[in-house]
Amino acid sequence: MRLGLTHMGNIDVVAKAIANKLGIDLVMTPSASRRTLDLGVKYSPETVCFPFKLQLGNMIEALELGADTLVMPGDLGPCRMGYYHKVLEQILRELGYKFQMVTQKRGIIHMVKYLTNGASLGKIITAAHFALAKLKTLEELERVVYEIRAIEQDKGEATRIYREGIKAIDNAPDYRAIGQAKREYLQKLMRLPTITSPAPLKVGVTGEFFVVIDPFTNLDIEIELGKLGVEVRRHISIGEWVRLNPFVYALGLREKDKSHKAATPYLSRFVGGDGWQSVGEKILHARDWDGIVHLEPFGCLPEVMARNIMPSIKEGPPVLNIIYDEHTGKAGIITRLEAFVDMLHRKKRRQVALCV
Amino acid sequence: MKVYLGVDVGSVTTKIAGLDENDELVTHTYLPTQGKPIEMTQLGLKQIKQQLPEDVDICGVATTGSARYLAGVIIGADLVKNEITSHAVATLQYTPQVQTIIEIGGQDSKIIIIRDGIITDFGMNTVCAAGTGSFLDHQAARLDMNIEEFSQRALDSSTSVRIAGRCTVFAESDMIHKQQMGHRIEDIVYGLCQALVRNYLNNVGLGKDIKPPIVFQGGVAFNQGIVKALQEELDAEIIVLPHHEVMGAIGVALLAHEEMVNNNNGSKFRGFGISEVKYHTSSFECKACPNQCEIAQLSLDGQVLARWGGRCDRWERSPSS
Repeated sequence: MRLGLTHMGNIDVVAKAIANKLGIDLVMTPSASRRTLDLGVKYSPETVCFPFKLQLGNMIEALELGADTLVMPGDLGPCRMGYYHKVLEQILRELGYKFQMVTQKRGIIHMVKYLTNGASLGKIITAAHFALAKLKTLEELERVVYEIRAIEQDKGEATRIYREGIKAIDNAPDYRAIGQAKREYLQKLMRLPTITSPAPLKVGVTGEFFVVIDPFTNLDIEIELGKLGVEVRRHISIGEWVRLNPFVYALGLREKDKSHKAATPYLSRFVGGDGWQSVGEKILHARDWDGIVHLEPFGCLPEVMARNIMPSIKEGPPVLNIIYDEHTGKAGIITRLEAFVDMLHRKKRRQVALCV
Repeated sequence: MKVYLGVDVGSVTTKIAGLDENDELVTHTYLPTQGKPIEMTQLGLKQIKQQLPEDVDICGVATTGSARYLAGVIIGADLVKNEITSHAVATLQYTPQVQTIIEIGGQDSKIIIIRDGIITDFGMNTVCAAGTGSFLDHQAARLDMNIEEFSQRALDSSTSVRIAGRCTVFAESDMIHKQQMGHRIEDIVYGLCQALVRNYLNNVGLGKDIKPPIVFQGGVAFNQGIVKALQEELDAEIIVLPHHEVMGAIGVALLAHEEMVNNNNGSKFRGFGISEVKYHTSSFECKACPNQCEIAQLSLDGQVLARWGGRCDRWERSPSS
């Protein structure tokens, strides 16, 4: 089995860690590029949502490099994503590729068993634990990067260090090396010269999972916000998605559970994807976020719902909605972000003036 | 005489406004961009210079509009600001009690909601350009009338004809259909105005709390038919300010003034001489990664002034290398 991996945020680091420990033959595709997108757009139905197109492009690139097994992670609906594994499989078969498509259809245990090639449970847990340690470290680094990006003197330095940090963590062979990389890059970030005023705004990034966590897809929205002096807050993450702590689960402490509860007066059920959470986060963070940037792939049904519910929620910070597809230009996004951040700054200044 | 300049280089028109120390408008110009933002900025500056006295002292310059970064490098701007903030600042200067700003330009349209002098919400057209100036221009040309006549004829309508306004392509075929059926041209023209207003309110204005006073600006505010249709649809008075077409430029000039008062290090303005020099633009494809970004560069006398267009900041960071 040669497993083709598709890109999504930092998931390649996690996948590589597990694959190395279990001896799975992983085909690493180059990170998503213009070519990936062009391939995906070419063979996708036109009105399908944007992540589908990238996913397809990614899969084609993996098959070109000799993969014979593909994984379609994520749950099976109730939005259109529920059919994606079938549609992807059919398109790829019609293009003449021979491969096995693995999904969660027969349960996550079956999927893990198939992919791990009959490795013992102990071995799987050990590998997963190691991979999650990497993920946790990456996310800790990320949180610090959000803070530093907003206040660094020389814009772009934090991002550069962060990228080096990802590489170091990716290459770490054991727990000790992970810890070492963590200390080294946190220190490097902390040492960057920063400015003291004005106090950075805190803006939450929310919306559909794939566009929110994948910088190629969202045109580096977090970096752009950082350039504008904004500290990004984001709860939608791979870590949140795979968090396995039973206590956190049982007590409903995940952002997901909390936001679903908060959203209930406006939306009382799961609508697929992350639509429910998008609605809830607006209410949940009425006090600690200055604004929300809501990201939506063109044609995403859950987020279309969330976008239309959000204006009717009177509490909570202002929301800027950005819709992504293969035609989205960065200039338009930057103009909107600049205007949004300007608005939040002026609002905050007014609030401060009124309090004094 | 001290003057602060605001330069708004939009997709269809280029606007420059000059304010004196008391923020009074002393000079302005309005030119078609025609896809030549550099040349038009230069020409605009030339015209502004002729309108100003010899002893003028340019104390601050700022740019806005979709070509704001390009114009900023050419002119030597002290501040580069987005269109939303610029429009709001200018409108608040003339109508401090404004609660809604409707701005329809050549290729984009915006709505800005203001409460107590602060922007609280805004929207811009996203995936559709139906209902902007370019489409009106195109339809006027198709009906063989200039845009002023188009505006006048709309007011002569007695019974409006309903035109499908969701998409410009369908609007056009619907208009042709109504013409073929023998409807009066005045009624069709006004029907189109109503369709565009409906489309604007259903897209850009969706979910926005539109409250009077409502100020309407941008090039399309010249069109009396659209003003009337807005008035009817919103059932409120629509204020069209004098110089509404250069509001973005006025706003950014006000911001330039504010900026220079706050941190006065002297203006970075490169002087009116720049309207005589030859800027050179070119582009190339970066081969460093599979993204193959198209990088555009601006140079003067063989020296690169600025580069844009990369996904990473490889080229933007060191334009001189």
